[in-house]
Amino acid sequence: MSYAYLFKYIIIGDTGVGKSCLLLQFTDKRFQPVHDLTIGVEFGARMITIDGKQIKLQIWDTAGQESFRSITRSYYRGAAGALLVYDITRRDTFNHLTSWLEDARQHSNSNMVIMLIGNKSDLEARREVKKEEGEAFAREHGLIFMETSAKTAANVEEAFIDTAKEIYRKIQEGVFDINNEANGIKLGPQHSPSSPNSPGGAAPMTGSGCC
Amino acid sequence: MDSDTDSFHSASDGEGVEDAEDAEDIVVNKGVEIKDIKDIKVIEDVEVVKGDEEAEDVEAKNVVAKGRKEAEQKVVLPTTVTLPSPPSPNQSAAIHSTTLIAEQPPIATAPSPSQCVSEDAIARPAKLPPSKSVPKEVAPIEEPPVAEDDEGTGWDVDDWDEGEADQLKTPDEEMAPSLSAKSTAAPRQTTTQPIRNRDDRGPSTLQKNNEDDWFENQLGGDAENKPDRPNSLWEWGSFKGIVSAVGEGFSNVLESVETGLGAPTPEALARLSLAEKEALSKKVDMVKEPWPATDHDDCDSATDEALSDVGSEVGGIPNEDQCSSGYQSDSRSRDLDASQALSSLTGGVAGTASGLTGLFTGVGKSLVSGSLDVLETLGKKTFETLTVSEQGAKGKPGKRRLIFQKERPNLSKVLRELKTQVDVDAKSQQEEEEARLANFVYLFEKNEGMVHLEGLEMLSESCSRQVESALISGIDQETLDQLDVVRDMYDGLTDEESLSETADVAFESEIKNYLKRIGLAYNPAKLLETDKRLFDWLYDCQTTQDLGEMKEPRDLHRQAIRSLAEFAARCVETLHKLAQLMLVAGSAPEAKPFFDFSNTLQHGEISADGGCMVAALVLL
Repeated sequence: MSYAYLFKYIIIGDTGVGKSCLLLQFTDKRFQPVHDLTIGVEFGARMITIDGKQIKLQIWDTAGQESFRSITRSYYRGAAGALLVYDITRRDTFNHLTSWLEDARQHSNSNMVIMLIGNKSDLEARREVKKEEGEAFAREHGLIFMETSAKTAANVEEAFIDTAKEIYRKIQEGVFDINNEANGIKLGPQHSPSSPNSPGGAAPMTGSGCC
Repeated sequence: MDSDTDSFHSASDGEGVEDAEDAEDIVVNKGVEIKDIKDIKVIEDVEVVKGDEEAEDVEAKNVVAKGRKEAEQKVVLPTTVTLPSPPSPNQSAAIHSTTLIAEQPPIATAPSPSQCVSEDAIARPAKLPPSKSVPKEVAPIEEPPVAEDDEGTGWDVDDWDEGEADQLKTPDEEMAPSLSAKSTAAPRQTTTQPIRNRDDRGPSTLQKNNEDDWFENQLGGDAENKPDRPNSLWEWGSFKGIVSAVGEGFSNVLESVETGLGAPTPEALARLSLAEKEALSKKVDMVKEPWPATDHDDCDSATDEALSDVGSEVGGIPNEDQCSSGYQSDSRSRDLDASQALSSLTGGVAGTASGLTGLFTGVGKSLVSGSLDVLETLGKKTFETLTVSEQGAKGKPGKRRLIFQKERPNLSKVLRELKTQVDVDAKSQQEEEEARLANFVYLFEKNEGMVHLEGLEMLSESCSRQVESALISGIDQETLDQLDVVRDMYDGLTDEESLSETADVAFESEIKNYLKRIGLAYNPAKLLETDKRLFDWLYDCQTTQDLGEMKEPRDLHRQAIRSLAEFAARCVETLHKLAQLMLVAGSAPEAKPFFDFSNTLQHGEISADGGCMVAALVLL
């Protein structure tokens, strides 16, 4: 359960491109054809190993609906990695990438690793966005690109793990300041937690309220 | 006798002249002798196999023939033989060479065919065909007193025995040397009578094995001592002396030489006819030529023994003494030198083969074994230096390991370490697990409460910024009034009365009521389900406690913490969702239900945050 690092991910993209399905595939290794609309943000977590180190990925799966766009911006902060997802069978999801990318760049730290994912690669017959277009977009904006299928789990693991590897590499290069949690990276607990806190004791937010 | 001696003298002189170059002659002789010894050995073997007169005769003939051939082939002779004679025993009876010089070798060989061979080879009685034609002029020579011959042979035998005694010293003999000497002599005594006499005389003569004595005897011409005959024997003695001086290793050489010359078996000798014996004796006379080389002696030793039985009957070898004595008187010193040198050389040469072999064998053997010992010692030392004794099981010294080898891990030690490590790990893991089970933060985080709280906090911060910015930019009075209401409500939440006021109300109905009032489409199913499950557990626990079954305090504590963490997480999630929905809805909800809701959740901080969010929404 203990981990060396905790990376915060955020999955963004138009509604219905399969963000929650990607998360489910990655965390539970299952595919749910019909998925409820995400309210605000949902969470997922999974442990991976990179370079012999246990890394916990904490994934914030945001709602793609335009109405939630305002609040999802609040969650960008403190993310080490972002999965920008579009649907290869829907051209408009690809066209919205620029606005999503602007949001991500604006509300996150500049070092955040962004992975461009063209999902639903299993639906090749209905493809509207060529893989080359995705690659070109990624190349243009300095993103990592990958086509995945949450249904067949193709490249799902790779998408998450490659992002983690890139983050890890940046940590090794000293790009990320791991002591600054605003970068979305937390060091794992060095030792077992102290005695359980009482409910009243868990009041770190007391002073954080407005007014 | 005189004529004989004269002739002998002349011959000896002639030889003496030649002996001036004795070294060469000796060398030649030696070469021949070695060859002869081999021949003798071979023939002896054959004899032993056949063991009867006929066989011997045949052998003798063969040998003679061989001898002739050799003689014919080898014209160059060590001695200037003018009148050769037939060397073979058979022929010797009828044919006798007038010249002793020529006769000498064949006579020596006469007693036994084997010796005959040797003599043939040595003396090169080459001119055999001419010798045949020679009339029997040797007749008078056949007269010599037997005693002399006996004596001569006796000397030989003495030497022989002594040599044997010396050489055949077995451990038994060493314990009883006198006995051994007798025992070696004993067989001969039984077979041949004369030998005993010789034995008796032997020591006395042997004592005179002094060269000075020998010279005196020679000069005095003492018939009794007969130093001329012993001459060869003397040489034997000197030979032996040299040999013994040379070393023990060479005793083997001597032995081999003597055995090589090998005495014929008494039985075989006994079968010899009288005539033959006579003929032989005559030849023996002739043997005593001025050429007393060791080969002659060798032959003598064997010949004498062979003749020993015949000795008394067969006529003496009268001129032998004279011949030899005369010869020696003339060329005494020369002969002595020559003979000694010859004897030593022959011995040396004869021994070279076996003796040197023996020597080298011994040396090589000791060398090899010694080297092996040294190597073994070296190896042991090296091993001990390069290895370190390892502590074996139960403190016993175990195997040795190389010093540069890592200390091999002890299995039991490794197992012990592993066991302790596993125990420690398990213990720490268990403790960690127990600590986790009782840790609220861990459990709260595990139930996603922490993330939701984080998300809620992020939203709150975002709203707070908006409120502040709105306040800075300026807002209308109505909005400010609404904010005041919210602030008052928030302040009121901290009152304990209000908290206690709603404590007893049924949780599920109250939540539904508040949500209805809030008017947001949120399904609090998760929250309600969790509340119900936890309450059920509490109810069951209370029931069992009432029934008298005691629960583990630690289990109760854990369950309490777990329930609290789970419920708190669900509450935070609910609030987080409500806040998101409220923000998404875009319309300001009723502030009161939020505060009540938060109050119901009994989490002051959450209520406060909720109040903040409500305030933010009011501002929006």
